Amino acid sequence: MDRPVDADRREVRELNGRVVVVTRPGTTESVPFVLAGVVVGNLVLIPDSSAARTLGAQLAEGNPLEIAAVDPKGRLTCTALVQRYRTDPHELHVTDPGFFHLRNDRSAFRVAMVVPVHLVVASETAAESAAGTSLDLSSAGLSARVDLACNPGSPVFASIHLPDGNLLAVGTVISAADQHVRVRFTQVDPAGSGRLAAHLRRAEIEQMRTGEAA
Amino acid sequence: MSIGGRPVQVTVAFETSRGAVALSASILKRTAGGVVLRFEPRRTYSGAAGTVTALLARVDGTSHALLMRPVDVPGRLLADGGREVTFAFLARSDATTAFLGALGG
Repeated sequence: MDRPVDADRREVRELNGRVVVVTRPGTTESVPFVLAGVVVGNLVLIPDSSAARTLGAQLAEGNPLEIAAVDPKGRLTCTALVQRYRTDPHELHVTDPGFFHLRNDRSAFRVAMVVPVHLVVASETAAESAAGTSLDLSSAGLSARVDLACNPGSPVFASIHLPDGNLLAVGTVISAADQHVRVRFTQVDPAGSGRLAAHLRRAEIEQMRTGEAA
Repeated sequence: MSIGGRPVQVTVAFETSRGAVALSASILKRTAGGVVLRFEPRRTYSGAAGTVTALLARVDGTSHALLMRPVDVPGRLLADGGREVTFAFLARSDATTAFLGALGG
């Protein structure tokens, strides 16, 4: 369900057709949106970016433009009208969209990400450990293909082998069937949570850029 | 430490170079920000004092999963059967409060 949220001024980072993906200027590794600000209708393109070149004629005055952004709470989108577009330097001015809408509203984005994982699940009487691969991942949990007998509600330890190092987390088994285990995190090792957020944001931006569903 | 006359058993999990391992341990006592554990005999694993470790437990039917660090691991022996090891929770949270509360005392 959509709901309106406030967002502040963004820099356009990537463009794909009529969708503009924006982040805060120069802070691709941090949370790209602060929801307490005010929406401003002027968005500045990155000069000479391939994304800027692909937009071209779609930016005629009065054309509708969907603006979207990655946020840990969901996908922020709004529709604005093109006011002015020029290429030297690249500048895009749109009408004040008023409010961004938070779509896909859930506690965290889930992105397809296949990396090795190792789970340890404790039951009433014993603990089991097994290796497998993740199917998707978010800052709030994961699903994985792991041959592990466990019950929903069991406490679980997850070691996730991200490309730049392990991420450790603990949580609860949400479901387990046919070697498909879903885990909700209750705590993520702070030493790795920033890396996880960066991986998720890059994957989400890529999904938005290529038009794949999150 | 016991609840209803039974010792509180937990699973301690951590990552090694050969993957994640799970060890059984019993809680000897709780501290202000952690627990003192005793691992079951015949299991020995090395790890530095900063090794991030998970405590997995079910107490009175409630699941608990917390990250912690060993704080007294001389000789890099994280788990040395029969020896006491003090662990400190990585962060204070509702989850740690709930777990320590479940232990009582």
